[in-house]
Amino acid sequence: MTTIDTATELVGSCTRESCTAPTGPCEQGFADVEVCPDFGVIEHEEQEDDATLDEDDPRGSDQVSLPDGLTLTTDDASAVLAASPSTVVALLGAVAAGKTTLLTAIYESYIRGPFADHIFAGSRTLVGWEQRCHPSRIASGRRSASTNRTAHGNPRRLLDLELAPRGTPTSRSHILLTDIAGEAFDELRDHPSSAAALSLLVRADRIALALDGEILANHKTRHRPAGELKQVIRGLIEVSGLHRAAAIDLVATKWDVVHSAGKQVEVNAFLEGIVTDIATVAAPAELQVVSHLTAARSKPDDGLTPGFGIEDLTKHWLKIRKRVPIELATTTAQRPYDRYRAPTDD
Amino acid sequence: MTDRSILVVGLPESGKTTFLAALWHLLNDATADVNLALDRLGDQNRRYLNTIYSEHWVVFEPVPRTPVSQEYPVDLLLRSRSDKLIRVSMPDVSGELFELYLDQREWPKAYDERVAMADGLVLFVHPDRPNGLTRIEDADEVLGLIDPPTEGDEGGGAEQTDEPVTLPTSVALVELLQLHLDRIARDQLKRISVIVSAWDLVADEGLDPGRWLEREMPALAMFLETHQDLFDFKVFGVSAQGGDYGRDGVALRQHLRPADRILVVVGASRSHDITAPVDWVSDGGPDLDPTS
Repeated sequence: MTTIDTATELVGSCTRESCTAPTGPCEQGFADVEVCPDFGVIEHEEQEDDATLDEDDPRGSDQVSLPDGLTLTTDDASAVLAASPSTVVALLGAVAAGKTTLLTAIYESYIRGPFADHIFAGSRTLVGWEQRCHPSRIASGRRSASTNRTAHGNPRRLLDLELAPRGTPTSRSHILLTDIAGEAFDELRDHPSSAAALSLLVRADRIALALDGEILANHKTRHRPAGELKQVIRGLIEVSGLHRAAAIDLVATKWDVVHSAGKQVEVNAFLEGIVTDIATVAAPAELQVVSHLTAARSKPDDGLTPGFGIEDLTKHWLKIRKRVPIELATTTAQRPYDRYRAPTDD
Repeated sequence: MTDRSILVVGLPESGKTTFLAALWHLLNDATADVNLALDRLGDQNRRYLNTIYSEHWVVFEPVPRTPVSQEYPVDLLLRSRSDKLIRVSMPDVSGELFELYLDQREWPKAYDERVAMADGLVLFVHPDRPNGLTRIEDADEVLGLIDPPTEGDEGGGAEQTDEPVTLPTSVALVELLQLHLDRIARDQLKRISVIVSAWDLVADEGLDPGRWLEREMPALAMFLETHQDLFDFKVFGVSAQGGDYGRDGVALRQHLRPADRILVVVGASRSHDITAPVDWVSDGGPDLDPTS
């Protein structure tokens, strides 16, 4: 099609029969059609013509949805798990036990450099991670670090980290970490049947139970977490079997508080007692129970290394990596990340 | 039909416009010994490049930011000495659209189609852009102000919402790359050039551009390193101005050839060839520095 461009006083046409440029969009996708190698420009004297060009802005009104980067749905997670070796860690615990702070400490370590013998290779939930980190950053405008409470009721609670061993940087794999609200933990305790709705628990390679170190250090409150955990574990085994989980990790958080109070020996011994109790409850499922001490916000003044225990815990989680067989619709993905894409309108 | 399709991306104030002005100079310099030459350019783009060149770059005036409301995509067709036709597209010179895409989590279909055609990316990074990663407790430690955690610090406070937050720079760049890589077929994308612009600001730190990226933007550096099975990448330090016009203006104006103030560093090698990042990503040039 030949037309006259009144703006540039040129006559031009495209040699491709199917292309309607310049009145329509260039088939090759050039915003400035004169640049297209298939478009021929003919010098022309000033013309009086009332023809007008179609001035479609290539940044047009039709939009393509992109993955929101918040958290993964179970379907998204299934796609990730089916595509590459991955680890699923289900982190549970009461409200304010420090679960999200623990998770964000891991994420922030990875985006700053190598950590736990691995390096950062990306994440499908970067926005989700950053939302959780934001309250503890200078950019938040806050005066002291904080972590927002995980909202209950949102079924999408998987955070993703893609990592690679330092020695083999292209051997990427994923660790998917659940960020389950404390209220959900309470529901599991009170209604074990609710575990069926948390399908990721069944698929988890690790069940990590966060125990608030501050509560453990208090003689009045320290027995409550142990009792709750035993109920939850017992319920999970009865309802879902938990036979896929390689181990149960009892993760004591806020160990800096315990250390500052000078109660490390006492609380450690108490924690080992809980390990024995939980191991007894978990025996029917033949689950190993291991304890870990962590302090995600420890400072040098606390007498602990910064991020005390986080690296060891992460190494522990990364030791086992297995492909979880998940039924998945056949994908004809051609692009490297196609398999991880959230559903679009395409 | 083009042989290579290169897409240029970068956040606001990452040096894209100044790079364009210097590139335009070199493409019009008949004496320049470079591998790429201009094959074709639309009039609108020509007017724009002439403006940023003649009114700013060549007279040692900083190239101003172009508001997104006044800009349009820049498309250049270049030809290499081996007669390859290379399309270089900069759909968003201001970088503000890329920020919008990250925020709104959508982009125009026309842009999506453009991304799908890319077999090379040029990513701009500016050393002066704050990284946004500083934690409150780290800043307090530096300042000697240690506040005990306030009540409700450990998850007992406000409920987590999905309200948007501004991603730290290195994280935003990883996300930008991930979103683009999502739309490009496997084995189609060959190379990514990372341009650390205003290299004169950090040249004295004694690091080559690759090491600088590892230190200052570790998330981005690690992401690139871990995806070398999908694409090659190279990090270029580029000073399109040659220095700060206020501080270094007198020295810069001594150069008889304007191109001689351009600085391009890759690994241990230095040159004035600002086409090098584009040349390399379009697979046209020799391996500039095997150690980079």
